[in-house]
Amino acid sequence: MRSNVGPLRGADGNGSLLEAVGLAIHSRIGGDQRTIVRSLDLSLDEAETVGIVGESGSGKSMTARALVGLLPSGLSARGEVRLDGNNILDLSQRELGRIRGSEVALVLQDPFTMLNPVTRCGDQVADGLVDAAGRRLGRRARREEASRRLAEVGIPETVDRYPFELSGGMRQRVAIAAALAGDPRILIADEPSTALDVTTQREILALLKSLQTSRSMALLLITHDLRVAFSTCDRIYVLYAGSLLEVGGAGAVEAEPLHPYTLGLLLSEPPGDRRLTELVAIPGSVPAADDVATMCPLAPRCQWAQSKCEVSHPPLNPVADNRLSACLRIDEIRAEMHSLRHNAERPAVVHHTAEASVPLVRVENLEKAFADASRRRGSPPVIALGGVSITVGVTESVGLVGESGSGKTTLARCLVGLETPTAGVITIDGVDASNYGSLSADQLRKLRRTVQIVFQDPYSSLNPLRTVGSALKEVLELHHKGGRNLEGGVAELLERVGLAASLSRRKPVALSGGERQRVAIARALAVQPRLIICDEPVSSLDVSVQAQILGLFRTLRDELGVGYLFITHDLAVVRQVVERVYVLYRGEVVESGPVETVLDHPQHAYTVRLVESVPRSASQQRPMR
Amino acid sequence: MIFIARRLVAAAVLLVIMSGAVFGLLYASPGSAEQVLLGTRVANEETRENIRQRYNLDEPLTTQYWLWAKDAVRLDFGESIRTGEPVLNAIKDRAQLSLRLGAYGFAVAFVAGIGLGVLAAMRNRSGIDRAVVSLSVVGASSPAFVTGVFLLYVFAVLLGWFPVFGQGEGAMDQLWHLTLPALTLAFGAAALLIRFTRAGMITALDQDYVTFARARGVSEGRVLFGYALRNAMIPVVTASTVLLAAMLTGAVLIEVTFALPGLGALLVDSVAFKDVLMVQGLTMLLAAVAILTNLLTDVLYLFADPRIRYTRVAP
Repeated sequence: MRSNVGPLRGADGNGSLLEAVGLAIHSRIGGDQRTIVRSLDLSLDEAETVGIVGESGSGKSMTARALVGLLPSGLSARGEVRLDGNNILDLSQRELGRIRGSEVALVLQDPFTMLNPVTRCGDQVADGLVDAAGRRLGRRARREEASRRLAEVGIPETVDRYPFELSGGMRQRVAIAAALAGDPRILIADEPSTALDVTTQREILALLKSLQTSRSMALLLITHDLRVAFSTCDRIYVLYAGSLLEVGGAGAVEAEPLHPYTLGLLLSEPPGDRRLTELVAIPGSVPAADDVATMCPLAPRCQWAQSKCEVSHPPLNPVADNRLSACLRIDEIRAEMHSLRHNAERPAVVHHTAEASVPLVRVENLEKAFADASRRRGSPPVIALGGVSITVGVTESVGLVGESGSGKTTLARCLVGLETPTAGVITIDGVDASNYGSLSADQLRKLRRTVQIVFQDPYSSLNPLRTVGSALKEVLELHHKGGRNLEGGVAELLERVGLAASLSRRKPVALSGGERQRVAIARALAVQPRLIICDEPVSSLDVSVQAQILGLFRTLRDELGVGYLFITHDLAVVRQVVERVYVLYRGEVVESGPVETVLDHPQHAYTVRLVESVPRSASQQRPMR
Repeated sequence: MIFIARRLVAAAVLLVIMSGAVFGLLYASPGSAEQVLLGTRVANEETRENIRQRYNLDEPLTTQYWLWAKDAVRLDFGESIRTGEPVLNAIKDRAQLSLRLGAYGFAVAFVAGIGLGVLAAMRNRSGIDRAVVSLSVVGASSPAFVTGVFLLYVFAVLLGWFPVFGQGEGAMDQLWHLTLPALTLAFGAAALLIRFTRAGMITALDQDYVTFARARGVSEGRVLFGYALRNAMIPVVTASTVLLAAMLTGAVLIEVTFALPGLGALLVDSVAFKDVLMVQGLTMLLAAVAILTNLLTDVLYLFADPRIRYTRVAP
């Protein structure tokens, strides 16, 4: 599958299908010009799969938009994007309209917003179809062809369905069929699997790969996930703060990254097959391109940065066969990077200290049904939880794994009283917490001090009008913690979660996603709880930040002895934090046990599917269908 | 289908409630019912007895309502106190003109409002956009009689392109006579539609599904109309049916300004003469029109938004 083509030029040597030279993207708001992409060279050959890997703020999505001439208003591109002897950036929208669909098509990230909500799927696919003369097809021909195209992506039955009737994965398939309607030679896919459940992610990537092969089409995959890129692409471009830091063949980059950022990204993504002794994270967060314009973009976050890294913007240089890197010190630090990786990937032993201990939380046969608001009265309710039993011991850390719709969030909300279960018993530290409404104020206070919750989205779980300090102070006051010195208490909390005390005067809007999640964790810690329920606490964060937060969870556990009920869809994440795990599927626990047993030797068919869907590099991967 | 059936039942219930209120107008008017129904006729014992007999004033109130409603269902609202003419006939005479005016005005408002709204959204923040938005501000804030007088002065008096008053004979002549009133009627309504359409289009053009349609080479016309406008129209549908109801029923000031003998003018006259039976008939008709257009909105919604047809809210 993998071809030995050079990083910059096609194997045939006479130019690429698509080539960007010095592509720069700027935004202009008012009189303020900001750099999105500094200068990017990229090439894509026939039938080749190339990945652009970067975190949010890297400029990868805008690069994808620029390649098809569809930048949002306010953004402009300079440089050259060559396709069939044309410079895309010079073409009018009318001329671009002829190229899009037939030469190049772009699939966006979110299947829930990408399709026209009021038009049937078949019609949307048919909108991109034309006959040999470039005219719209007749009514019957359109329908037949649309069915055929939907069959190509495995869902012929959706031709007369509306998008809202379909699942996310099916919508993504419809979108792919629609993008391919004009038989383009190049498909650009911007995070095509990110918004989907893990098992569906793998199916979509496999589908893209098989379409790419069967149509011998070129595929440009934009992703934040190095493992996805390794498992799908021939070559990889690593983009950071608007600059390319590394370019190379996927296998070669995976075997030995030649830029500290690539290494950091690689190490930030925890592996699914083992628990690491130490989670290595890149400190800080992604800067704006203009803030690092005159230095190596990674310098502020790089452990190997020296003064020479901070005086000029390093260019991409050939550092090995078909390998480019923008690291000035790569020759000096190569060995060090290698040993860092070697050490970082050492597996750790999971200590099951608390398994035999007294249960802190005991959930027995918990059921929760929601009335279907839209249906007529008397219609059967939606079962979110169908008799779930779990226990969490004192100081124990337990994982709850499942996809969206598995009921994991409902369980969390029942535990803290945000939902009242339909049936079943919840006992927390000896108190019957099945119905929060019937508890006395004292019991409630006790429960709140025992169990706290951290939500998925740090952008909506903090009050945007209150400063960080006042949000934390409120909790301290409510629970009479921190004594007279509230300011000191706030500072201590912030320090615990790795934030400067000066941050207490800021409002959430002035914080990055990672910082906000730290504040949310500090707020949960304020009452000195014995258990923190974490509902997908890292899934909305960038990879490099995710590793920092996971590291923080581990540190807090070691220092404070707090336990977690860690709810996630990500097996690799859960493996790093918990000792025991429950696998939830459609409102029922289908498997449970020590984390390494469940993940290494899954018994239930669903767990097997979950484990298999963790992206692996090509070398580790079982063959895709 | 269940959805439509439910709306039909709701509309019927609403109509019954409205009829009660309309019936009550007789007793809500100042003076006794007998006095009101007498009007300007000589008040001797004989005429009083006649009135009581005719309008069942000696029966209990519920029976009175029942008898009134039985007639009302057959569109028999009695005879005008003022002219003695059956109320239904008077309304029929006037309704034609009002319907024509309303339909003409609505057509102009709908085409101009949506057309200009789409244009402004496509040229967002340009000079055209600003001009259209300014026009809509003027339209929304000018009272109809001011617009009417202004149009009359410019196009009828100064330029002499259109007649000053009257309703004309024959189809073309009538259209010609109704043009200025219809434009007046359309001005304020178009302003509202421009705003709804423009806002809806700007939002829709910014959606992923529009970007994605362009990214796969769907023709620009199809993107604009099949994708953006199709979605932007959903709120516009609601706004326009409300406007339609208002135009069919509420052209009072315009009819007066242009001296057109429509329903509005009839209502004003009847109120002035305390012609309660006529007012009852008119009010019932207007209420029915309002309820029917609301029903129409609901049905149109079904076509505009397939999601309503299969509503299922996630838990």
